[in-house]
Amino acid sequence: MQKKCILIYDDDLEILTVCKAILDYDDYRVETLANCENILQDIMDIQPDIILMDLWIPKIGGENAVNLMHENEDTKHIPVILFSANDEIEKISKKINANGYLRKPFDISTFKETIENNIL
Amino acid sequence: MDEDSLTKSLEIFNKNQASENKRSGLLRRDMLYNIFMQSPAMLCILKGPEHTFVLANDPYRKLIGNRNPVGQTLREALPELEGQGFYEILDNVYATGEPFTGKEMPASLYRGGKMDQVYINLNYQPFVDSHDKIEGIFVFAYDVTEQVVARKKIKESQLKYRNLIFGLPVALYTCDADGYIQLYNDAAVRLWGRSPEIGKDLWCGSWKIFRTSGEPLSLDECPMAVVLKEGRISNMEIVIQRPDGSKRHVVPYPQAIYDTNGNITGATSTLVDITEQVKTRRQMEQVADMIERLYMNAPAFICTLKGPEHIFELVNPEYQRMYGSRQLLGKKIIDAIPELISQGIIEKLDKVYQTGEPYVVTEMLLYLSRDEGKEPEPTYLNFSYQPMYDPDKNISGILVFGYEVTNQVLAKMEGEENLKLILESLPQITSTSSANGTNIYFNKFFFEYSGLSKEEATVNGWNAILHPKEIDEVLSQWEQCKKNGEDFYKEIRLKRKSDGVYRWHISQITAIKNSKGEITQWIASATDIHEQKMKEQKKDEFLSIASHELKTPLTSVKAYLQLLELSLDKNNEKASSFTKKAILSVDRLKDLIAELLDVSKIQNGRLNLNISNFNFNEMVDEAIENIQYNSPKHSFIKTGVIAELVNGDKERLQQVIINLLSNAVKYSPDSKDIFINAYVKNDQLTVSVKDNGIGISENNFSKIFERYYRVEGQDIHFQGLGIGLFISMDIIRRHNGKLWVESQPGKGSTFYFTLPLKKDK
Repeated sequence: MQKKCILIYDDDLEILTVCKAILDYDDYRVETLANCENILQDIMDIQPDIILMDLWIPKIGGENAVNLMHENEDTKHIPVILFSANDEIEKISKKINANGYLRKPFDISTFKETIENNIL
Repeated sequence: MDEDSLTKSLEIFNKNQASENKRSGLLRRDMLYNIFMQSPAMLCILKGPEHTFVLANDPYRKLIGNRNPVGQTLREALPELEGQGFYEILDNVYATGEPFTGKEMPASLYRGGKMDQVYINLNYQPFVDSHDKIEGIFVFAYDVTEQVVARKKIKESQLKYRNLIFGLPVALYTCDADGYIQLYNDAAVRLWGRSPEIGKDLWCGSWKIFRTSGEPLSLDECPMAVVLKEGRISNMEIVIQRPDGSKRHVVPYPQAIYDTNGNITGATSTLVDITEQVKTRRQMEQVADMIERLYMNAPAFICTLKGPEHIFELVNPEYQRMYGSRQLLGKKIIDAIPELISQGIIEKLDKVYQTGEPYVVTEMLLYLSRDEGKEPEPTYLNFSYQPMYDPDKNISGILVFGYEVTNQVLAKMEGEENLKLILESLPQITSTSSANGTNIYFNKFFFEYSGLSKEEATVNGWNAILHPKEIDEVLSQWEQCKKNGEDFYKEIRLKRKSDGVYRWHISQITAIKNSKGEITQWIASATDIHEQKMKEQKKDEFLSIASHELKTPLTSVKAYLQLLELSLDKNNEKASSFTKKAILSVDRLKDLIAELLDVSKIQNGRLNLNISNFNFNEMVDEAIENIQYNSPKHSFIKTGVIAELVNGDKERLQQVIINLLSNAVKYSPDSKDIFINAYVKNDQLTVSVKDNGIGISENNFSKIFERYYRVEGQDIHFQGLGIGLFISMDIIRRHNGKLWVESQPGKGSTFYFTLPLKKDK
């Protein structure tokens, strides 16, 4: 069986590294990207089972990126978890119809649970 | 032959009797005898001291009931006369020789078997013998019974009338031709308050009389005197003053009495007391007088306009004063004051006349020519048009009532002018509007800033430069303010013409009220706070970015620490404990960053609530669990269970509870129990957190909720930024709840908060 794929967008490389480190303990394929301009193409290429999207990410921002993929028939089925230090994250995730959110800083157990609960 | 002439002839006969007797012969005696016997008068001759009848003619005999007294003494012949005085009179005539004449002497005579009352004129004439000694008495009598009885009957009937008249409740009196009072009734006595002396008091029985004007009236000028002296009837109302000083208003009804020759023989007068009517009339007059005074002297102008063409019917002096010598009365308003035609006034009058709806206006500016030939000048008036109705309830005209307020308005305008000068010089957008919000004035700066023309400003006002995103909210809030008479206060964006930028302003609209508390106008102003706002936004942005940027490495740190913890050798307890502590510190750092961000949000009023229905109980339990994890030394004792869902921001409310619980922990270093209780009563949720810690003195109760307040002067240093309760207070307020403390130093504190529970949500 093929490994499930998690695609993480964050402009902070440290975050990407640590997330990868956490998820390496489990049997996931982790792909990370530091910008989201080509989100549709990225999804086509990577075929993720879940996306973790930072809100403040160059250049179009997480909100717009999620909207873009939701407007696309081929990508809109993929679960998206917002992933930010922003206070308003809960509100925004509701607004753009994300499947869930993760507040930074997070607890790695919460991090894992959220992914497990939402992954395809 | 009348009575007098007969008496005279008999006297002559008597005087001459002796010589006649001597000179004449038998023939003459026979003749005399015949005359004597046939005389229609009653005659008899009595002789001697006993008055013996010598002769009695037929009429005499008839008088005494056809008895023949001849040869009998008077007492024998007419015994019924005993006690009636006749015997004594005759005795006296015989004794003294003095003749006696009696008129209408009553006598009771026995006739036809009964006693008859008769009235007699009689003459007793003594006669002497040749020795001049009284020989007897010649009696001449004339029966006047019929006349006397008839007269008595008249008198009786007169008396009846008199009693009738005099018993009347109306005062009535009579005077003779000379004006002497003859008769008066009881009612007259009551009216006059005195009884005049008959035959002495003249003209009127009153003590004093006056004209209604109060001028004294002499008695010989009273209506009774007038009718007697001139035959003229006057019903002039007079005032009678009684001797006790009281006064009555009286109308006399005098009537002259004429004899058959048309001469006045006297007069009667009926006096009608109208005092009560006068009182009523007086009262009505007083009212009328007041109206008249008001009308004539009122500082208000009053006029009435008659008919559909508004013809001046009445014009009071104040109204006339407005128009100087211009002729108004009797003229149509359009003829009298033609300058009104173009000023919309005639239309208003027409409408009032047609609809009956009154028209009231204040401070209306009219251009009126204040005198004949003068140019119309601005005149400010407060006035009303009220319809007037005829007795059939049809509109017959219009009552105009009003005041001129030109001076007041000009004075006010001068005041407003001064105000405008100040407003003009302000570097703030300023405008005024009427009570209903109609734009009146915009200051110079408004035009400079907005670039609007005067027309555009008047029509659209502020709306023309309001930010499209705010216009609806501003307008609805402004409507609310106008409705409730409240001042408007809001931060708004207004477009600057020069660069097209919507700049932030603090706008304020303040109601100007008169002494009665009525809003007369609104003054709106907007102060440019754009720079401050931008700085604030930058600060917010900075804080937001800062917290985000701080949190990002924290995220990595925390994750690495947790990974480290996981990868540590299970036997290395020291390393494990260090890692745990590091993680706790990271969490504290995270909370501090969040608090800082919250304070900034509260300051800008941007702490938003995320409202939902949630299980309050669970939320509290989570909070306790959280705190318990970080404060293992303390025990948290929870009582009370909130069964219902609570509507509010779950996270923020949990933040409050965590804040209260962590404070309780923080300030109870030497005691371990923290009590948390929750209950619902009257749709209100109350939560209390009690500790047995150091407590708070009462003068610090309010300070602890202030920003950056920290407990000082203690031996122990307490951690924290001093903003936890400040944030909690704001959160609870935003939930329309209350947060307060009860405490005693050294005995611990109890913090309470309440939340109103919304049903059905």
